[in-house]
Amino acid sequence: MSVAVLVFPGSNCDRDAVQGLSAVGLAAHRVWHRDPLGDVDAVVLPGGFSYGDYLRSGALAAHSPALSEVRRLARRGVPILGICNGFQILCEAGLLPGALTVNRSRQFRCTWEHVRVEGAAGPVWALPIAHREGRWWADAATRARVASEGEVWLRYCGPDGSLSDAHNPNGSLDHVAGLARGRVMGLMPHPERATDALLGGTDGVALLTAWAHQVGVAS
Amino acid sequence: MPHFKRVVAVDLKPALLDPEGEAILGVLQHLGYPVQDVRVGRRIELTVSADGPAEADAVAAAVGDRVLANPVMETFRLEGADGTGAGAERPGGGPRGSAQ
Repeated sequence: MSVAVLVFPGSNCDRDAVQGLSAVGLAAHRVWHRDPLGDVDAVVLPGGFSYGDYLRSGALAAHSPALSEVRRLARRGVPILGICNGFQILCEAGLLPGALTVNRSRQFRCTWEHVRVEGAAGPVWALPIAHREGRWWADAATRARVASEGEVWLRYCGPDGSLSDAHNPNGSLDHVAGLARGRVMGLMPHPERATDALLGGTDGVALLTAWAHQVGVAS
Repeated sequence: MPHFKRVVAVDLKPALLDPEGEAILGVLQHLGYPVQDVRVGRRIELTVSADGPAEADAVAAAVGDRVLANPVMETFRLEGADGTGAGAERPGGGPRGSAQ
């Protein structure tokens, strides 16, 4: 299995993403946005500040030629995973619903948070976040559709999995930390930064492993 | 081909919390100004090559809808620099991008 990590000008978590995917046994490689993606089994859009996050976070990358290719792959069912800025890009591109805008606190938040996988007895993982524009927002109709289609993947929560404003680091509606529309998935936390106990935790390994199994790229 | 200046004004939809506006409001009120609400928008000036003003309006509306505003959370309107631009507010278009 081959996973491409798509690199835009301003991406800065691409090497971490390759390392994190390697930690779960996936063969990952970086691909510059102007180079062909080739025959890949999955694409990861890494964190960072693509195109300086000018206009809006992820907006310019969402309209880049590389995203046209990502759209084509997504239509064919190739798994796409957006992490942080990659999640913002997927929402800006309309591949995931809603939008990510400035945190309620107005602050860049660089902290460890708990997230809960949606669904009965979903595991709770501790993962780092690092963003200023992570507050998920959608209008009422979109929120209702996201709920009825089961497109929420992850929610911010307390260590025990409970939902509360105290454990919502950016003011996301419905505590949304990650979304999944079929095999197109995105999340604000950084699993690739939680793959070594020396760096504070290894729940990122659990998340990436679960992702690989869910989308069928596990080695 | 002649050039036309077009201004696209982008605003957050009223339903959206505007943390930047809140911060500015706090400072203005601290200074004693009788301001009740602040919403921060964005003004983008385009120089468009077009055969005529109507075509320039159409180009500005297209880029406003497709790129400059995110219809999920923003609206945009055209402010024609030469007075010919359409002034009507435009709600965001439908789903974005060619795949939609």
